[in-house]
Amino acid sequence: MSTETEAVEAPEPSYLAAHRGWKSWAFSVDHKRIAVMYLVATTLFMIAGGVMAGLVRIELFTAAGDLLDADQYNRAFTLHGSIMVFLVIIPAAPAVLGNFVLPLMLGARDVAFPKLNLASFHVYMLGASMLLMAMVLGSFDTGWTFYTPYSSTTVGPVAWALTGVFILGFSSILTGLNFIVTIHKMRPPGMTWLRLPLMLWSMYATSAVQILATPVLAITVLLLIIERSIGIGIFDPTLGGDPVLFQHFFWFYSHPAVYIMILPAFGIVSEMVAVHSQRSIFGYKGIAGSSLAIAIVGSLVWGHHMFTSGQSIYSSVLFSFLTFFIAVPTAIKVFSWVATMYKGRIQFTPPMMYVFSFLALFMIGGLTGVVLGALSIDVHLHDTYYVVAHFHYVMMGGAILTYIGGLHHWWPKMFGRMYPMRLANITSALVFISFNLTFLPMFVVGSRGMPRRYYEYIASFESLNQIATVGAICLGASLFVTLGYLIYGAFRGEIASENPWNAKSLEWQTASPPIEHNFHYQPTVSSTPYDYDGAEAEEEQKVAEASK
Amino acid sequence: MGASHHASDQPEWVAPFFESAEQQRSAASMGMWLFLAQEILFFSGLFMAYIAYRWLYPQTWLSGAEVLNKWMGAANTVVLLTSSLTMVLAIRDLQLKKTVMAVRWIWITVGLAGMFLVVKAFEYAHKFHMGIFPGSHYEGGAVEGMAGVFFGIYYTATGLHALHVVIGMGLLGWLAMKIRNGSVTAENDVLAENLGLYWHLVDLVWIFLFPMLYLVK
Amino acid sequence: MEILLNLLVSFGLVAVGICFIILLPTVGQTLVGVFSAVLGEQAFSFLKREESGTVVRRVDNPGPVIVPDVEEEHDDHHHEPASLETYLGVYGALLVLTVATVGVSELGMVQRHAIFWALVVASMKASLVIAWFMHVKGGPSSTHMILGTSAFFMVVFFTLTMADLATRDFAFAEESPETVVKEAVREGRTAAGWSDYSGGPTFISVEVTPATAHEGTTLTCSAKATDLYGEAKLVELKEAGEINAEEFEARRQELITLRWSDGTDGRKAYNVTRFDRVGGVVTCTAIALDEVMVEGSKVASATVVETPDPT
Repeated sequence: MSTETEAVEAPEPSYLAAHRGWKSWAFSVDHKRIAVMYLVATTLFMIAGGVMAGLVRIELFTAAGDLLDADQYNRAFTLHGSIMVFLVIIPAAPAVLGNFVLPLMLGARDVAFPKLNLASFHVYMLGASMLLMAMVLGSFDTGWTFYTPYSSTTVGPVAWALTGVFILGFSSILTGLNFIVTIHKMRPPGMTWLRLPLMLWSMYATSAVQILATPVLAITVLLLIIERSIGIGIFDPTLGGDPVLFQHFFWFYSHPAVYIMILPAFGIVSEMVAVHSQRSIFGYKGIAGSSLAIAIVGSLVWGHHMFTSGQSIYSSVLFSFLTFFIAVPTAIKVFSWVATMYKGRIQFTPPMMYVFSFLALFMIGGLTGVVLGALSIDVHLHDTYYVVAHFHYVMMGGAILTYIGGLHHWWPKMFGRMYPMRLANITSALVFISFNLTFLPMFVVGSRGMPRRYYEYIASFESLNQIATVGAICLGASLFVTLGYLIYGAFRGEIASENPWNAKSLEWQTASPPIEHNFHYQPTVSSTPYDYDGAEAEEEQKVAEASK
Repeated sequence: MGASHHASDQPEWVAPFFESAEQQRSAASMGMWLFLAQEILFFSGLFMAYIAYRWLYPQTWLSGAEVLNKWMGAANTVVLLTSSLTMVLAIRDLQLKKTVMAVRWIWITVGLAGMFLVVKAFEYAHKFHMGIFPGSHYEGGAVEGMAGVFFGIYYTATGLHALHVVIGMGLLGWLAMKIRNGSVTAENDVLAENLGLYWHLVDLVWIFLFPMLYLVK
Repeated sequence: MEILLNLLVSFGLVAVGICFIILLPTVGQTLVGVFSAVLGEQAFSFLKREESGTVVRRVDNPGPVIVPDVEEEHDDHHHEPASLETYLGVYGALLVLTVATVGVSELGMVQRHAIFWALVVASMKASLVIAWFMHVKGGPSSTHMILGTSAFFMVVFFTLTMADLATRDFAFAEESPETVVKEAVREGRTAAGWSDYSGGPTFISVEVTPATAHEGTTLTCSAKATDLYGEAKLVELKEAGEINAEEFEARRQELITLRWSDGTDGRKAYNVTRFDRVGGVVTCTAIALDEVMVEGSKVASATVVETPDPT
């Protein structure tokens, strides 16, 4: 170390090293630290939810109900669903990757309301504890969908779970609120709306949905708690209520919720596909606009979960008709991503593997969703394994695996170290294969009539179920390997450079891992972060010259 | 170049990650509006339940509304509207640097809110007297039809609203103290404006609840 | 078709409501103008004494503070509050609208329309509060966007859910006051004036003609009753024009089951045979459900006599 007095300051420590001690983490308002805390929490909860899934799958290995009895099975899938939906998928991409990356992409020092950000994390942990408390107190078996009148009359710690969900809703709302204000108010000089990274367009749409839809879940859950405790007769038919009204309330949130899950994944894919094909994104405006379109249209279609519930036939037709429209903006995105790769310089890095995996899995998931949206078909497929396969393809194959892919993409930025890339490539292929092994047979058994949420089934479905269970075990194993090498990479991996992927967005123009205040200077932009071929810079120059 | 830099000519109440007071202020304002959007959607669930069951049980609604005292409801409406006015005057006076008056207006607002709650308490007491308790404890025979549903919605809606009034009173009292000790001033009045917005939302919800519940006929 | 009409009406009402909310700031502004012209100047002049240029002493401040003019020096127009007249005018308008809304309900309009007007007035009040008290008018466009999007989501929620509820076929308990009270009595919950309800529909008449019959005669039974289960729906259909008077009568008759003493159902006519004992009776029992689905019946009979000689 030179001791020359060259007015060189000691290099500022990264956000990881800036402060020490558990309090510096638990009370940190640094968005990056909050993101890492969310990462640890969601990973732990994903393991818990995965254990539940394992129980379900092992039970379903044989046609008879031998491992668990009916009640235990119901609790197992309820916990699997509740944990995965409320504790993992909904928070993961926004709160982990969104929190970490958003201010960096904007060249900002933090989000607009850092204390609110920390609050959202603690609220999340509080809600999670209540949900898990319900598990400890004997668990509940209503399904994560809490349909009445069963959920309003059954005995059990349902109120704990419902309160937990209510509180978790606030965590989601606060995150969304933070992001929208940050994107509106803290863009760097030169970053007009049409120069925003597409990840931020997606986060913006996600946040809008979070703010507008989650309160309806909150009131639904609150009304259900009141119904359970004093029986006001709002959802219970014996007291004059309408159970289908509950479903309207519930799905008015829960359908947009799936867009909360997938829109960040769309943003991640946009970033990864451009960077790892080293190519300017095709159809920027299309992708940006379609994020908003999906958010809006997605809030019009919730009735497609209720086709067989006793909803009026006319509104079923209306919802079915509206459901088909979602395919359009989604397809615009998929076509644009594929077009982006054309004539690009594709790098076969783990994030790119996850992009390929996403394109395949989301196509299957999305198209089967359109199939289910057709009223006449859904009448037969509702509550069968076809639906289970569909939503696992989109929610896990589309959202979770892409979130994991995003972790691979931003891991060097987050921890300054690289994971073993070769192992990552192989494992991602294994994940892909075992995922399909698990869920593809479900389409078949579902369309042949195997109902969901049943702990036993007829013998003719057994062989396909066994394939699915084997796939599930392999999937779990590969995901554990992924977790393993990521953790290893974070602590012992090769030191990563500032910009290992040669990306153009702002987060890659600062240290890996970033300093506490993100940038040493105020960055400015003059193009979208996808200007790989220099076309935009040229345009900018021409405009600048013309205006002289 | 220090690690955290912000324009050192900004007042100390501007957070370091904001470039300017204006940025912080407009961010806080937008954040508050987003929170209000969320509150609107929260209450809209109750409105939806109201609309649904009014459609299904029109007779119950007619007879249920008769049990409610329209004049007390109207009085409460006037009380809340007045409190909205006093809130707006408080912010206006704060911006005109008349902090003493501003604090007074805020306490008047809190007082009016308290009056609202007192009237509400009388209404509830009257109903409890008649045996109209929420939900399964409903014992009143005075209303025909699905009275449990009507009063369930009535109590939930007014109860939740009253809870927001109580929270508002606390927040406004806190604001009054902050103005007194100088942490909220004419330049740094974001907290006052935001709490004003919250208060107006509480008023708005009541503006709709009143005709819906009391003026059914 | 009725359902389409219902949907159209609900969409129409919603659209009108939204138009009101959007246009009403204009209406509100007019109202405000009127009120501030009338009230603002005179009635509230005492409040204006503390206006610009006055010296105010803050309790915890050693020196006097000069209150600046209403036109602020701040370059930030957020700090510029609206004029006192505006606020008072808005307040006055709000009071007037409240009085109007209570007044309309006192007029006792038909229930179905009352809610529409009540909501129109509530929307007007809401727009006044939003535009002026919450400073949305003249505020940043992002605020308008947030409000508009929330309103959109809310309206979508109401409309599409009601599109389901309003177009279902099944019937909730018919809710005429008598029905509900009858149910209360039936269940043992007391209600004044109906303690003599014993259940079942009111049979106006049950007759078997002729009153006496012999072997070979054909007896006819007719029954008339009111308050039958399903009758109200038929009345509705008739009034909507979907069934004509004849069909209405025919279907209404079907609500009553006629049972003869030989145990057969559903025939209006009965042939007296040699198996009907002379001196005995042939009964026709009219059975029907009343509105709360309590079954009731009434019996009429004809006596069987000896076959008269052909002479």
